[in-house]
Amino acid sequence: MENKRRDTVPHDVAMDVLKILPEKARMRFKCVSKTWYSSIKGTILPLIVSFTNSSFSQQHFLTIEHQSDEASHLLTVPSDFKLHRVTQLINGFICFYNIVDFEILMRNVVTQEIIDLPKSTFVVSDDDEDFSGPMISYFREYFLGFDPSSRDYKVLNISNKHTTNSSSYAWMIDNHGTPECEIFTLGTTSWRKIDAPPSRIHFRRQGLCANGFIHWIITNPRKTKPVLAVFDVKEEKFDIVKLPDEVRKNHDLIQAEEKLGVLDCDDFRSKNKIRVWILKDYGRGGGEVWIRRDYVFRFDTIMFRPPIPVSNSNNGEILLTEYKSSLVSRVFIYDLKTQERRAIKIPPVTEQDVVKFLDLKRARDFPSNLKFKRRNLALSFREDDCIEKSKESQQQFVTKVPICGATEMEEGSGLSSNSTGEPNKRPSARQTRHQTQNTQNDSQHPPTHVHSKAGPLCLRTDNVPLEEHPRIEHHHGYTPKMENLINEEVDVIRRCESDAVIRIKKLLLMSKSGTLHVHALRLIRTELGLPEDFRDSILGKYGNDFRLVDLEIVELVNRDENLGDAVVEKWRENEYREKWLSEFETNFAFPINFPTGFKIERGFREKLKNWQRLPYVKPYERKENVVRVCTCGGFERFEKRSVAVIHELLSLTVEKRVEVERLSHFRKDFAMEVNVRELLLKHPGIFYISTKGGTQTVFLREAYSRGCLIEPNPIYVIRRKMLDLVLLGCRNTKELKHLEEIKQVSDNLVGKIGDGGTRGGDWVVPIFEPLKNDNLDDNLDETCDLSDKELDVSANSGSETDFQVSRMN
Amino acid sequence: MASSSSSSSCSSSSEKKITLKSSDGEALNVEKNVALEFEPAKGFLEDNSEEADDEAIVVPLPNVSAAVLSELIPYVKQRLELSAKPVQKKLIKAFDDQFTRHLSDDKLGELMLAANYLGVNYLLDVLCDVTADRIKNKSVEYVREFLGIQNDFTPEEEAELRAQCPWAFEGVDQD
Repeated sequence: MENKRRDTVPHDVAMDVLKILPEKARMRFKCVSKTWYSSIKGTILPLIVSFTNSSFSQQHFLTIEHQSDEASHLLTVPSDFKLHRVTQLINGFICFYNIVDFEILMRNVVTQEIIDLPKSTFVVSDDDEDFSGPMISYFREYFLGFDPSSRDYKVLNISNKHTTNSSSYAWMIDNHGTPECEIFTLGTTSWRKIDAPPSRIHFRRQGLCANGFIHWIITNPRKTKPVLAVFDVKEEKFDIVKLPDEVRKNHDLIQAEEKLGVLDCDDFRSKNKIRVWILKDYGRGGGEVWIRRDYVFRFDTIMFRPPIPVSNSNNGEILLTEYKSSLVSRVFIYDLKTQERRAIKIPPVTEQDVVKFLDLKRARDFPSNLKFKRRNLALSFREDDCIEKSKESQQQFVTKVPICGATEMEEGSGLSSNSTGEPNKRPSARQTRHQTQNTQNDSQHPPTHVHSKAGPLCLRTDNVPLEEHPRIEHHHGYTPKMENLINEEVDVIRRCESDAVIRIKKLLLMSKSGTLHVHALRLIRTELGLPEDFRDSILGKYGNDFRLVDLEIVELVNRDENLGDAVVEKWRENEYREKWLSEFETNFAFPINFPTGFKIERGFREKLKNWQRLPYVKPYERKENVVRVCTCGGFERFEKRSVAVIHELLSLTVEKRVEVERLSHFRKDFAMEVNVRELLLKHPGIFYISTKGGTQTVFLREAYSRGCLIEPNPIYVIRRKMLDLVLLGCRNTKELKHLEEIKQVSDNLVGKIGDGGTRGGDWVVPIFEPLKNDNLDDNLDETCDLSDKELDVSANSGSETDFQVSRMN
Repeated sequence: MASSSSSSSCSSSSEKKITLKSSDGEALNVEKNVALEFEPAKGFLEDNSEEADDEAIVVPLPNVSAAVLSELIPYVKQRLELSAKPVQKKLIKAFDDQFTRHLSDDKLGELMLAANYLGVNYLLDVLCDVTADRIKNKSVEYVREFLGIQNDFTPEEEAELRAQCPWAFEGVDQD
């Protein structure tokens, strides 16, 4: 039975199987039998077309079988943020690259093999980047070339090296850099440096390789005639060829009669004609020969625009489309030999097709809107199983693949995704940094520090553990340690529910009408230490205290006057009692600590003193007065009230900090219709604004000392632990030193209670004393305990600042 | 597999029965619509349409064994039911996958032959896909055996061919 079956497998069935086999298997199975050999040899390889969808998020590869009028889907590669540009598609080979980074990836779309190219030699090493000297950057263009005589595939890299002090990309693009060149032959292991082209190449379109030469048109910004730059793939030499006199514009390059052709569609609309200039002879040194071919379109379809070549095969067919942006409609193949045209149906690309190629199970887990994750996608690209094999075998591998097509890609794809994608990268990297640094609140960090971390390398997550600060909203895989901390944070927040209730109550008390917008609260949810679902878990749960007036407005049910004491009041009382300062001095004063090196102008002290004495409507006082104060011309008072409100709001937050932007959401409710940012800047002694990252964050100066909160609270401690974990990778240490210090300080605090002291945050007379004190180098040292927690501590005793000062002395 | 679920629907349909006679002499009763899916049976029935009693007709299928036929018939039945309804392609694909997943290589070959002989093209397509999938990473020898192809190359010729594209022989699975 078995033998019988095997003898009778009909050839046509076998051929059916053969058709769907990948290229590599087909090549292998040529050896099966003579019939198979001839069958495989006879298969005409289809035309391969590549295009991106309108949003440039995917790169599609389609094949159009010989004589067929329907394209079939070959594969779809999700566009990668890192590798968003493509070279010409030659015999199924295509390179994905990025103009500013050294990443380049080659793949064979027919065999679906991935070839990992070595790193370019034009790399800006970290040592070069000292940020004091000029910045070196490369703008890379890659061209894929094929030499038919040796059957070598080569990748040409022309990088324009820019040396500049400016980081503005726009500026660099205008500026002409020095071109540097290197070449990579498939089958070898490294790039070779070669002589650079005689002049800088201003890329307008993708180059086209035909007949063993890579061509591209050089348009001169000075409006001179465009010329054709030629790179001999075999000899590895550059040359310039003049275009025919009639060619004035920047036309498309195509492959025609196995040579380079310049497609001229200028007469298309008036005469239904296209013209192709064929470069017959390169004629080194000015003797180039162009042949003109005119083709008439005898078709009745109305076309509104001249067709644009998308791809062409070397058997005289060009694929034209009317619209460049998409291949959805009006795609046809024009056969230059027969002058016939056939419309091509492009099948819709389904989700399934995308999966076909990449292991998109992984890709699906990553939302595409996060650059961070797209980057990982790029890694998964490279991790693909096929990579490791290709190294040695590449030479032979590539040489025997029959020529099947060449593609020109739209230039728009690369540019547009670049212009949006590239600048985005830096802020995102910086933000990561920002989150970590802000908590430290170390204003002494040199700006270069941020810079070095914001470089592209920062995004390389390979060697950095993926523990992240919770507010960096990439929910990636956390390590168990981080997972524990996150759970712990949630736990602590839940335990501190009563505090959260008091906080919201206080905020509501501060508001003009006793109401607040829930969205504003949601914005500073983390800062206030509220649970994610605080709307239900707190506002809903404490129905006796809060009432939702509207869907988005929360109201306080009854005013609990016991709460109505601002944090600053406690400090004032302390000032008054402990320092024997007059009520006149203390009643409306704020603790003020100026940063180190703060320049005091003449009369500033006096002004400050007056400001400190200036009465204002306290945040928890009834709000009718606010209006009166404002209209009575007491704008300064009104402003001071705003300062008090912000001060109070900051005191209520867990980490005594909040993003400046978020404050503006409270402007109406708190009746502080002033320019918040300006106000904050006016009072550098109270507020510290960090501009790290893309946002501005305001910190309460008095609450911090040496980059740490003076009075840590449980939520803060957890978050510090997270931060330490995040910083582990950067610091290269396994010690959580910082945390130990915090603990120590807080432990000592308890021990010191009752010792009493004489100096709280002395502000009134000796405001600037701390500056003269040599031992106090930090800008945030002189503080007092005004946190909403441990209030009893400060009431009973001097404060822990006393302890700190004495210890330092 | 498919056969278990199809037995119930068999009785419900009041279609006329046709008897198919396999290569090893066994007779199998199938609904007429199923039998019409098989090209030889269809031709035979058309030729003998004057006969009033369909029950009496025995269609000889000399190239298909009873074992294969009993595998085929439930599949075709199920497939017919599926395609009669406006079901999604996905469902059909899932059904095909389920059908082919457990097939041994030998069975696959037999079914392929039968599908080819009986002209059940949709099955043949599915089987070709599966075969391609199974052999794509296999060696030449494996494929020869799998599809029953005689090697008509001389050793020298074959060696030369192999030398032409050594890359194609990289990364081949163990047979």
